[in-house]
Amino acid sequence: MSISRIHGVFDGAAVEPPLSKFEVKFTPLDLIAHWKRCGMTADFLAYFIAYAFENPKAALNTLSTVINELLENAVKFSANKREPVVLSFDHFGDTIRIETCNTCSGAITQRFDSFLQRLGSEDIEDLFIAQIEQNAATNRSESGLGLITMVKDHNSNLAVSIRPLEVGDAHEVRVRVTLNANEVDQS
Amino acid sequence: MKSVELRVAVRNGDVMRAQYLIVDMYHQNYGILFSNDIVDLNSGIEPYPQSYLLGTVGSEVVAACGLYTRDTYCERYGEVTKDDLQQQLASEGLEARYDVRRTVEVTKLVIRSDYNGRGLGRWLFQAAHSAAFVMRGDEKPPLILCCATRSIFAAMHEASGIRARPLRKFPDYPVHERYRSADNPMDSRLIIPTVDIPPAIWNKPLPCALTLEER
Repeated sequence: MSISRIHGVFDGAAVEPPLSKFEVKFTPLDLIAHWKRCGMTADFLAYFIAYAFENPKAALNTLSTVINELLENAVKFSANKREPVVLSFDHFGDTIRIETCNTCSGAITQRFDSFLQRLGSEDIEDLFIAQIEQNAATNRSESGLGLITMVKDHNSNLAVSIRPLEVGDAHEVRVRVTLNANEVDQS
Repeated sequence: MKSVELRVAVRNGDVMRAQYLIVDMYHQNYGILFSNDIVDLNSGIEPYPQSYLLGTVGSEVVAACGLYTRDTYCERYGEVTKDDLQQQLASEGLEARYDVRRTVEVTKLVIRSDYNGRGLGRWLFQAAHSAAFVMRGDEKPPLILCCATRSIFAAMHEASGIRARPLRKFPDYPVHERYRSADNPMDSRLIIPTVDIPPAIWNKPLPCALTLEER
């Protein structure tokens, strides 16, 4: 039987309530049907968040990149394309937390799990090169390159919780990115 | 006995129903994404057809098929040129009857998986090659292009008595890697409706219905 796994530091409930927060539900099919909606949504939500920053233009790029990456992955790999994926944002003052929650099939979860083990144990620059080479060799874009770039270039703290659901082989996958608010403001 | 009703999608809701069945099946089976304006075959993002046939059982959508009425896939990505089409028409002495600028392409035929194996696919395929679907009120019939694997041409076109004339081998794109192979490559082909499509298919009326046998 499958067991729950945690990759990275996936802390539980926040000690203090967030200063700012929102939660949006998407039907994956709506984004798969119009793929540009991922980028549009990421840009809009990033603008919404960055608007309150000292240096909105600087924050916009990092926020949009992170939201887009999480949203695209959640949508692409969700098991049921008609079941909502949830994207949530919490601003705790010093830190920003962006998270997606969706269900994945057992096979997808296993692949993701292996990738996360590599991400947690290998040198990120080496892994980045290895994934680029793999992409070029296989013509595949589902290599986690986006997640690697997010951690490498945007100093994101990535944590993932994988929990088997009670029925079938599906798993609940929560991908959480925590950013330093000051760094985002000066990025 | 269930009956599948087939109609041209005209209303916004019907177009969306057809698109969503196509998207659902294509993503599930081939990992393909869709967009109107950021099409990229190397990244697995396909363009939408402009017109659709929609098959329903009651309020459920069970089948759909698309039609490119401009910017056909074969011409946009398959390197098919107007000269290729002109040569085919000349070989039949039909240059005056057709306009190489008027091309359409039947594409993205999908059957909901629980309705597979009941003859619905070939029935829909044939309806998609009817004048009622491809002519769209025009006086002259268009030239019909198609892009598929050779096994599909054998199972659908040849089995229906529709002649599809080879134009060019379709270039290899990552987006097609889950259904084409070295043994089963993709071609761009041409159908000249009045000579290549049997009259019973060309004159098929729309809307129409197919009664399915109970399993």
